[in-house]
Amino acid sequence: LTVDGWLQIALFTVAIALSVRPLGGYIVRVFRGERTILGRLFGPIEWGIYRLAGIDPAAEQGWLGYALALIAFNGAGLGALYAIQRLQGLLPLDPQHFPAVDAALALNTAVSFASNTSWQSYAGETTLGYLTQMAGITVQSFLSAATGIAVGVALVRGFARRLSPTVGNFWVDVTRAVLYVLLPIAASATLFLVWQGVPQTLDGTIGITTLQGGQQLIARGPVASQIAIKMLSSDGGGFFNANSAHPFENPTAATNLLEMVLIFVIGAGLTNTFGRMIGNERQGWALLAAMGMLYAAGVAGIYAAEAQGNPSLAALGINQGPSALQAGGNMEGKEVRFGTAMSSLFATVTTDSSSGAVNAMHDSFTPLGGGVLMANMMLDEVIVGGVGSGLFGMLLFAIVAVFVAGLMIGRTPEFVGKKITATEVKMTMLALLSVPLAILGLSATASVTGPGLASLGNAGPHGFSEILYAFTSGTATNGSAFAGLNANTPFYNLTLALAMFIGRYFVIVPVLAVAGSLAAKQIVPRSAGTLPTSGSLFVMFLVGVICIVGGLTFLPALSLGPIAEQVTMQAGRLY
Amino acid sequence: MSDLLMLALIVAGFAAATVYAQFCDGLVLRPIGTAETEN
Repeated sequence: LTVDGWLQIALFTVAIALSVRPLGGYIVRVFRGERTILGRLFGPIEWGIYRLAGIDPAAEQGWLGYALALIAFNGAGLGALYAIQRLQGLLPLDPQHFPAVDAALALNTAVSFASNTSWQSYAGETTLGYLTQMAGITVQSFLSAATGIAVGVALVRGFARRLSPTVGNFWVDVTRAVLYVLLPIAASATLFLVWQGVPQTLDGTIGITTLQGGQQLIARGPVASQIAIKMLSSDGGGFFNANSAHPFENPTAATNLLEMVLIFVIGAGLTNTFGRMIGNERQGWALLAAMGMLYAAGVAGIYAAEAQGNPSLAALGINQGPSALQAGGNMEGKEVRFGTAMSSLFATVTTDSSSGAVNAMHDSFTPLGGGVLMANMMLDEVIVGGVGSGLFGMLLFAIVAVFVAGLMIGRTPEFVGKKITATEVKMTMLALLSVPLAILGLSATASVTGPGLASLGNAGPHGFSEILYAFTSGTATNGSAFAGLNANTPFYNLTLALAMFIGRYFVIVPVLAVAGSLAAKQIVPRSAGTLPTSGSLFVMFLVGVICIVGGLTFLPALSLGPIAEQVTMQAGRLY
Repeated sequence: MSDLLMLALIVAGFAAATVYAQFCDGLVLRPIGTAETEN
């Protein structure tokens, strides 16, 4: 642990905190259809899309219509991405002439990017042509992020509206999210990345002669445009296999900071959007405070674990302390240029959100550090989370918290003026239970079947961690990997596709049902018996509920993996 | 594995999501006469 490391973590945290109000306010104006500074540029395009698609922007949908539109839209996108991959050999813009992607891998990748997960069982630079990367992967990064934002905004409308049969128009929300929120930020970030040295070209791989006289192929392509939205969308699917550890994806300290900021910026800003739309900005800050406490605990835990290093190396007399020549700590699998602090922060940010981009290999983190990464994802994407999905995940836990508090004080629970009744609690339970069901059920299945065990790169608790991490990452729509697991097999391609599908759509549907149910209700005025939900007491209570639910659900599984491995590592045994 | 099987899985997945939405809708629309009690 160094002062430099903490200062860099503080710099990132302050950058996010400063972005919350301006971006949150801007997003409110976008989804209220008010004039924005980009209206003159994108307004004609927006109206052109509505006319072309036959959309009446004034016609709103009930929650079921909204959900069915989302399912149809995502289904079409998933099908298109699958088709592009399978037809790749016939399509242009493929200077390396890659063949069609294997069917099971194509299905896994299509589900992965349509669901905003970006789990990658392939290496981009040796599998996908430029058209597939641009028209397939990059387009889905935009659309899946826009879908998440739309669902988040629909739920916020549920809280904000009174006696309304509708929650918005899905087509309008997705269009506005892409045009006014994602596109401008991604375009600006692309230019910055190009300036910092990230390639943006349609030229093919180049061959070079190395210093030893050997021949080497250097992959490149339209990287910057994909990396910008990869980060902003909390999607995280890299152009290259090494993701943001690759110098062409993340060449400098400035790009490293920018990429982390892009991952968090919309998710954090949406808490302010929530506060403003319900007319209580303080409530938005309360949600962000709960996220911030969990974020701070995660980054401190991982940084401490990684800075401590590996006791087996210490026993051999190897100096793992920080000095002018080394960052110190556990540097296995980490980029020397990022060191322990920035690797720990990046890993925290990417697992707090649903990003899954990595600048270090999570498989090589200490067991405790890797366990915290898993715990971040197991908490259901509520620590800032994915764009939109972080907000609705946190709001689901807020519903659970007021429900539990209501039981404790003997009153019908209320949250921001809406009475929380059996309907909302049932839907919340359906959404929250589908995640552990997929993670634990599929991890258990993989742990006792031949195809599941055949892909392991390590034995013992570390091997179990590889399985648990994969299904946690898939279900939480994160996409990062414990790289020791060979996931490009029919078993893992299909089971992980199932995990990602459940983790996305079997959560979104009940969330929209909650939105519809809440929107139809009257807003009740505050009274002396109303539980305050924007103060520090509720924030602590909310964090407690999240940790207790997460702990009760996943602690047994974590005990068999990272916790057991940490204990055995202290005793000198490695896996 | 064949494209037909993969496409069948995609269609089955989104069909399941659609049925799930209808199921949730059934829970949201409570039967008349089951008003919830409030303190």
